[in-house]
Amino acid sequence: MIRIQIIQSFRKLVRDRLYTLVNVTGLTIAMTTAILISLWVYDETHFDHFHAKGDRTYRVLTDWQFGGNEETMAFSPAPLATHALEEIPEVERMVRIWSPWNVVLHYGDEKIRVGKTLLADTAFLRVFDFELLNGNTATALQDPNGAVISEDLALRIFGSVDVLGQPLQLSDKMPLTVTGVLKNVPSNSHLQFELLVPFDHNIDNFVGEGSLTWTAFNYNTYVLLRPGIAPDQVGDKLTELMPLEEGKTRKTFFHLQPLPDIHLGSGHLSFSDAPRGNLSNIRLVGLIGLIILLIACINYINMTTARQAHMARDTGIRKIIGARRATLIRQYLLEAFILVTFSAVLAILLLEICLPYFEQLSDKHFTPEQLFSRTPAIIVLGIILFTVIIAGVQPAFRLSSFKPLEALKTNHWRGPQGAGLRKILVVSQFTCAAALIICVFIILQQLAFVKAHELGYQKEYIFSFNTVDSDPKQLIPLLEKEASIAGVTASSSSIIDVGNRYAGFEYEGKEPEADPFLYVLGVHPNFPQFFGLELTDGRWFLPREMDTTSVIINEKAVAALGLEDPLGKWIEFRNKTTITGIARDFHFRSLHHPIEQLAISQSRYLNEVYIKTTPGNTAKAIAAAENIFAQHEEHAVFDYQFMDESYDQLYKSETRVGQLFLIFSCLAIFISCLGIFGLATFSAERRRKEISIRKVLGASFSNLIYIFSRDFIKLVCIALLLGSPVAWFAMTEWLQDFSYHIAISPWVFLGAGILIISIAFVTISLQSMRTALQNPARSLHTD
Amino acid sequence: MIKTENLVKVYRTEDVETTALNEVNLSIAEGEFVAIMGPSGCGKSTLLNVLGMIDSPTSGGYYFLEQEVGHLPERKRSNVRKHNLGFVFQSFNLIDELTVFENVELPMLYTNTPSSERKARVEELLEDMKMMHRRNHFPQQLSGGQQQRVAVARAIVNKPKLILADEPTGNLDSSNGDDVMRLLAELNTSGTTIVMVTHSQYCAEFGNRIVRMLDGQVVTENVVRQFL
Repeated sequence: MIRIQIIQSFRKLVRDRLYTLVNVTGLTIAMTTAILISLWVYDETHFDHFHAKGDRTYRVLTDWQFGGNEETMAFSPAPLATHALEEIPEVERMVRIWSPWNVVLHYGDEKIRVGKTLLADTAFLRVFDFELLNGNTATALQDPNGAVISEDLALRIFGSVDVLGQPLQLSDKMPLTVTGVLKNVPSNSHLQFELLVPFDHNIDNFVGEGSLTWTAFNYNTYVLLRPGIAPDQVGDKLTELMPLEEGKTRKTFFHLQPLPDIHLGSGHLSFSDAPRGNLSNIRLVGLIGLIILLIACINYINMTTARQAHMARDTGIRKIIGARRATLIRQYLLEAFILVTFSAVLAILLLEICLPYFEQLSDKHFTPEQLFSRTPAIIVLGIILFTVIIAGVQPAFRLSSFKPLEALKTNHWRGPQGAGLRKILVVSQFTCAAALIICVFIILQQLAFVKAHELGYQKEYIFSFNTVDSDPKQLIPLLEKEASIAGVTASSSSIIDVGNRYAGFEYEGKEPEADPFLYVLGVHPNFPQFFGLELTDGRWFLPREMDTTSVIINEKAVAALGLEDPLGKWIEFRNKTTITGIARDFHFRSLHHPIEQLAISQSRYLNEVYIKTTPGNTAKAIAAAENIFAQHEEHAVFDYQFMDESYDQLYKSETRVGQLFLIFSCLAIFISCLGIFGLATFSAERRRKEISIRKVLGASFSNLIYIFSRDFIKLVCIALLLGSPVAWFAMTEWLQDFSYHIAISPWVFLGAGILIISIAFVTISLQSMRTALQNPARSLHTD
Repeated sequence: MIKTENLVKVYRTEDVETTALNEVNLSIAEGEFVAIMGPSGCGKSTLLNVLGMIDSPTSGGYYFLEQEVGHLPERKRSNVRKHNLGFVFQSFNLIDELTVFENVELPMLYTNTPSSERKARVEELLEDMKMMHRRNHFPQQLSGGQQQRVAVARAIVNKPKLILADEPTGNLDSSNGDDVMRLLAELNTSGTTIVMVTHSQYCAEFGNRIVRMLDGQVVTENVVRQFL
């Protein structure tokens, strides 16, 4: 029985080519999307799951008060780990991690920039399961000069992974010997690194002595608890280890964050350098994947029930000659299964083509081991099963329910049976498509707004680079001599994303209970003029003069400090400074954040150099900067970035969301249109006689197109009305992430509406024109 | 074999009530070949559908092999149908996606007949119907007469006690119509009871008895040949 059912299903698919083509195309695209999204969602929700002891490994989080606010960060002081190992018996191992910037390895005369370096305690490779290709997990980090390098880095430096014992030099800091080569760190690890160096003995080379005390919260600390130990209990014990001055109340507390929660559970942290996942984005993208799959399922349901006249005859004959309903349900489900499985096979082939683009878009890399494992197989099978159930069950039950006598009556099926359900389903498809396209319009508008927003400083024709060993103040006069360079300045951190904050400082006129914080930017004296910052009162720094006693604050800082007449008042950070000027507020962080209080002071510790060039001179300016850099930086590699590119990086996540939405909405519209194309074809077939009679009675071509299209267009309009509020609500929420955002304009809805209606109209017209152009005599004769 | 008692079938729409069968009393003995005739809309096809258990009567009794089957649930009717009845339609009603062989084989699949038995029986019938050379063809590749021969083969593959034929020659030319009628007559001769609806007096005379209907009622019954 099953054999003949399979054979018949195949023959049906071959015979009804349009039906098969529409369904297979829609399902293949939708399943490819669903598989890619599922892989991505699975990866995002399974970060750090590959560590065998992951269920008892935790990261130490610190709750503290900063500038009157309660904050949590993933950094803790260095002594915590050593004390915890000695004094808390529940702790099996501790690992501290610190990551230096701009690491360059020397091998012979070659300088190799390293992606990310970790200084980690020796237990690192015992707590975390990063697989070593060469070397011994237990001893690789025992040697103070040992270096564990990634497979990629080994190949980059040596062209081989059999490199144990090879010498390397880490900048000017320390000689290293390769003691291990590890398999590239999986992309679903929150710890990403290419080079691993022992923490003990080496940390002193990078940080000052003060950085190893209880007051320096500079390190990520990981704890491996003994089996069966509750993390809360250990968190409290860790807090107790922190020395407390007599008479003071404790304001800093430690608690433990489970390793698998780090990727998605770190959004609230003040500082965390791990690539943070976003659960809302995962849910949103997952939902969109589901919607696209449902749209394709709806096509199947609609197309199957639309051709029920033919299917009904089949049902009728079978029932009369003895088929039971269960047999027929199985037959129709089998048809759905064959179609879906065939689409899944095509989807897997399409996946092969799409994967590199998807990896680029999602900033992820799936290794062959990940792709050819059990998980993707389960995902594909799950999607097949889901699709068969969603798409196949309704038609199977409906088609098998026909009474044999009615099923055989041709005229019975001339009417619009099941049209109500089909209308609802078409409206659902286009509601999703309309909502998505409206979202895309709004996201693109917001991104354009962000890029065009007046920041309060100039960023055009400026590129920047970081110094490692050299002092920018020495480089600036040399760079200024270059004809291709129009200006040079430097600061302690990037102007587009200032991160340093100070709290707990004293200042003149401070109220006793006040505890404000200030963002702090250390700059070269010509910094304000270089960027064209505006002054509302007072003066800038004196040119060419190192003046660490002056500070300029912005308008927001005047309000935050509660100063009525700020000029001449003192603020004491490390040393006492006097407010000499008030700068007009400008954006020194992304537009996600409102402009906050900022202090600009001259600093001896600058490492970000900005170079202004002019059109046509950029290449020369870069070459000149590189040349001067090379003369002063023996251990670093010149790496520059244009400011507008750095600025765009702040909106990388939104740009990615925008691209994803654009792709998804195009797919949703395409699959929905495939569906109405198929339905229009069936409708044309069903209404052939009606159209012919109308034509004979004098209906014009345009009139016929109108009659044929109006029902579909009506549905699309209803969908637009339903989709618009959904998109408005979702985008209002999304825009809340930006402190500066566009107001949603009614034109967006109108534009999206015109676009969707036009696409739908063209799709339907392709079919209706053919019907309208047919010879009516032929249709009337054959009927 | 068949007995109806005051069989009534009423069709209702929102505004109209149509009595298709009006207290039909009919008995058909095993081995008979009964032709039902009458003008369009007289209820002959409705009667055939009720007798074939693909429609149920509004009231009255229908006894098949002395069992009341008119009001059985669909599942049980289906069971009676597949073991006892064969159908031949005017429009052949073959399944387009199945070959000649598979179409004839289909009813045996529903009765769970073993594969070897199915093959032997289908081949035997196709030989009888002179359709063996067309066994792998699809219905669309056959002439009307050939399609109807396949439909007859499908109707008798499970060796039914009763064959119900609804205008079996309606879509055929006279030569092919003759062939089909002779086939039915031979089946009847070999013991199969046949009830056939037809407009054609010529076809009706292949039977033993002609039942004439008008406005949902049996008006006359003529014996064509004495049924032995």
